Amino acid sequence: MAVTPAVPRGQRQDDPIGVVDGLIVWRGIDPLQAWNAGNFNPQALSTRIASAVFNTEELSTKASDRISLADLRLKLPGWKFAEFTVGEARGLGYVALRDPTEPLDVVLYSGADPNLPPANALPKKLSKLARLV
Amino acid sequence: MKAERSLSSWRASAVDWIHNAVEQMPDTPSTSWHVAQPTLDARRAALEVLREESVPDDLVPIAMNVTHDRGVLIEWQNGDKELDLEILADGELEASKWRGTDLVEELPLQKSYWRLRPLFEWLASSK
Repeated sequence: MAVTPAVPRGQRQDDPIGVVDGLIVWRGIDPLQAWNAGNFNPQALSTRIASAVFNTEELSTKASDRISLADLRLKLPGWKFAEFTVGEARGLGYVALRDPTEPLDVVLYSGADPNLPPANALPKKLSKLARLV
Repeated sequence: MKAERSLSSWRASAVDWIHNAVEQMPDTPSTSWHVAQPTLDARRAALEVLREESVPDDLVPIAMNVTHDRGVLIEWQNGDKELDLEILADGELEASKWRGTDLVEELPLQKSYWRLRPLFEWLASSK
């Protein structure tokens, strides 16, 4: 992983008390990340989120109880965001905890093995469940 | 010598994106939300896939993204079936076939581009 992980391997445990299921979180989508498929394929809906957005060992998100979407938009003009609740992610098999290095963040890992990148099915499922905002 | 064939519009656009747009990406992403530039091996392999004759012109990808592991992920869809080709940072390929969110099959391709044809035949078929 290019960015130093927030939580070292071996210390990634689900925290259902500190991070409640109803908490909404946002994952920013780097506008440089994607080719504009919608110019050529009407199936490539503008509301679709690519699984590549979520396919990383440590999935960092911003927590809605610490920052607003409006503030995120100010910080990252032109970006879109994938929105989901922690409970939705847990239902797919993620574990979630606060980022000890960044108070605004909740980080998610594969519950199957939080110390490894997720199997492809997990980010794929999250990409279909998350909402583009 | 094999003649260079002209590319369909989506392929030409996708090739141009690999050639030019990814140049704007940083080598080191500033945050975990930013992506880094794909490796040269990944870019070369992505260009080979995009120029590969067994990739049909009439099945336009629904997405092509740089991955957080410095590779490229190309996704095709036909009804509830999806085919993903992930080009890894070392230029190797992995294919995965999906029905909805159910994984049907996952297989490494090891630059065996000839094995792409049956994948697209599966995607295009009504079964």
